[in-house]
Amino acid sequence: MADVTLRNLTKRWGEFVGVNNQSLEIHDHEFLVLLGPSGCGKTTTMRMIAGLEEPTDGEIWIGDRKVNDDLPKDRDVAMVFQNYGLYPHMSILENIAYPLKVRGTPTEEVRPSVE
Amino acid sequence: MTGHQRKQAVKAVQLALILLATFIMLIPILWIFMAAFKNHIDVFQLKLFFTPTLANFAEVFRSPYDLGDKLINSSIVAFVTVLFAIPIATMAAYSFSRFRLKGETAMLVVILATQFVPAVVIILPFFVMFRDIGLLDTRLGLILVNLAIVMPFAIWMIKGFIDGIPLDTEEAAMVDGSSRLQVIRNIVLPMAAPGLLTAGIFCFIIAWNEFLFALILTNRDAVTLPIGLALFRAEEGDLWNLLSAAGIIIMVPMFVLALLIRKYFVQGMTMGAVR
Repeated sequence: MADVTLRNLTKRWGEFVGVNNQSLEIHDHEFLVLLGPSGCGKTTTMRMIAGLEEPTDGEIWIGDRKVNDDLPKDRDVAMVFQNYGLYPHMSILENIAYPLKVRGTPTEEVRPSVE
Repeated sequence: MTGHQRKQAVKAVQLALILLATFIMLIPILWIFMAAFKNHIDVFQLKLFFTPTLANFAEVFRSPYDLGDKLINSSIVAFVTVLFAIPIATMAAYSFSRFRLKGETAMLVVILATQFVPAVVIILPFFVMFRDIGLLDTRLGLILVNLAIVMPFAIWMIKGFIDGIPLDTEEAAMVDGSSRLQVIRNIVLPMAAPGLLTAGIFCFIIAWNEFLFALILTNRDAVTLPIGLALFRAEEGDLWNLLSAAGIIIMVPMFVLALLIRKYFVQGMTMGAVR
């Protein structure tokens, strides 16, 4: 685990402001809940931390690393999606094993660690 | 009339209508199937009972008709067309579906609009171009033309299937550690597989049945099956028995494909409905 720090994070789509100048420090092992009415930018903030959305302005730090330009796969984050985000063409085992598989875990280690 | 009787009556009418529709659609095919097994004299009589013969099928494969060559040409042209069309169309469709591109709508509309241009309008430019670069009467030329015909169709169709895959699924895979290419290979392609197969078979059918371009752009070496049919309009009149035999040879692969496609077609149509 690591600290997550947002510095003046902003997301705009044209005129529309999704997240406005948000700064936040989340410490290691801290449990943080974002609460607010819909459309206030909770999901957008999360998606930016995960790397699914590119910030218009500001910095995202995970640990001592600035991750603005890192792909989601290189950030070592996890996320639960509102619509589950399951892989319907795979079995349950394959679903759980997928992150291990794409991160290059040797095949013979995947099954035991899933089970 | 009780409710039960009414239900029965409705069912009977439904069945009758289905049978009628099937009958209307199958009549020409039935005629061809019968003519293909008749000899030249029987063809002109509407007899339901006759001595069937396989001579017509043997005859069409002999000189001067040589339907075997045309069969090979048609198979190669249709198969290679699909082989190139589907991967290219998939990449294009994915980009259209997932990235916001400059002039995206305009591009999509233009791609669709090419489908509305009557083939006779562009066939002459094609003829002149192909003559100048030596592609007339070659399979390669026909493959290029067929690609131009099926690509817009394939892009739109596959885009529909990819649109049906929830973005969340892809994003979940990205957070799980996949690169964009891995997402496409491990998630998008397997989930869109029924769509790709359906699009592939449709493209194959279009290329297999393509007539106008093949008529103008080939004359001997690269002649395809539909053009081969024209050979049977001889001086002694239309050789209906041979025409029918050749027609069956053209149709049978389509029937087989239709059987294969049925399962996936239904799957494809309902895909957007789940979740």
